[in-house]
Amino acid sequence: MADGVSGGLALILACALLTYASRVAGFSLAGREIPPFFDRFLRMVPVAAFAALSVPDLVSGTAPPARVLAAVVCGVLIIRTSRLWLGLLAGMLAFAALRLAGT
Amino acid sequence: MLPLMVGVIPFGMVYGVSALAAGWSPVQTMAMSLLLFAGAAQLAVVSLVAGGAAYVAVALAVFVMNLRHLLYGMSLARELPGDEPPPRLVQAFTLTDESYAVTIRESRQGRASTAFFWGASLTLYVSWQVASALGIMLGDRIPDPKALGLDLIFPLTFLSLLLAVARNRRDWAVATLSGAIVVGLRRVTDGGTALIAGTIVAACIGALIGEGRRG
Repeated sequence: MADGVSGGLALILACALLTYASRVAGFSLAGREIPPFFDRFLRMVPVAAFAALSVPDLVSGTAPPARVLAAVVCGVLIIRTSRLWLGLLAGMLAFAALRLAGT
Repeated sequence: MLPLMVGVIPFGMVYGVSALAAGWSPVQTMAMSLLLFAGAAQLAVVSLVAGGAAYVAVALAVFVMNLRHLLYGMSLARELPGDEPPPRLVQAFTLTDESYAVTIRESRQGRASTAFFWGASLTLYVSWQVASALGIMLGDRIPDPKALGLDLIFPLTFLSLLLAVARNRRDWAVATLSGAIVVGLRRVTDGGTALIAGTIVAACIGALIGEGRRG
């Protein structure tokens, strides 16, 4: 249990350094104009990344139909209540219920 | 700008619980929060590693995901004087969507200061560490996460993050495109590469169709 993921700390350090590089570079590049395309590209990355991180694992894995339905439940709750934990709880419960029902 | 605003405490706890469920040790999980301090990226690391992605791909994915901090830094550097403590190298470490968003809001009302930014940053940093620790303690008590279907929490969390940032039809078009590309690429390559390629391609297309519009 104490071992964890092998090479994990090295990976964490690499990610931390790469992220810090972006954070610092921004401050240092003050006053420079950023090329418009690059600016627009960077603004689109979160949308693209979050979709890329969520969609594949909803349409594959155990019981994809149940996963998609659970995602819909989660999404509706999030939109209605703006509460992350509520949406997650509802989605997880919906998934459990659907699987018990044999979906 | 599309800063990401999700409740720090719930999000941090989800991270702590998920990381432990995926086999990360409490020390590793805490270290990521202390050193990387980027919620979505931290969850992405855990999710990608659990899916068997190569570490190089994971680090690259984190780099691409967090490039937006470059924009935040440039924008803030215009608003804040550079000569107040703490030094910029220290300030930069805690730069996030949230601290950027609240500081820019203050600056629009003429009230931005380094003290404000630093105060917001420290508060968020400490909150994130507390939330992560709470998640770790909770995660330590969950017996068999896989059997509970806990791995679904990753896509659900990223879905909620997507809902937090997607604002208009163009965003949803990009999201759909990204999802489709990654699903397709996963048939021919590993999860990490598929993620990076899909994200970059979809973001580029989004940038092309976003010509002339402010985000």
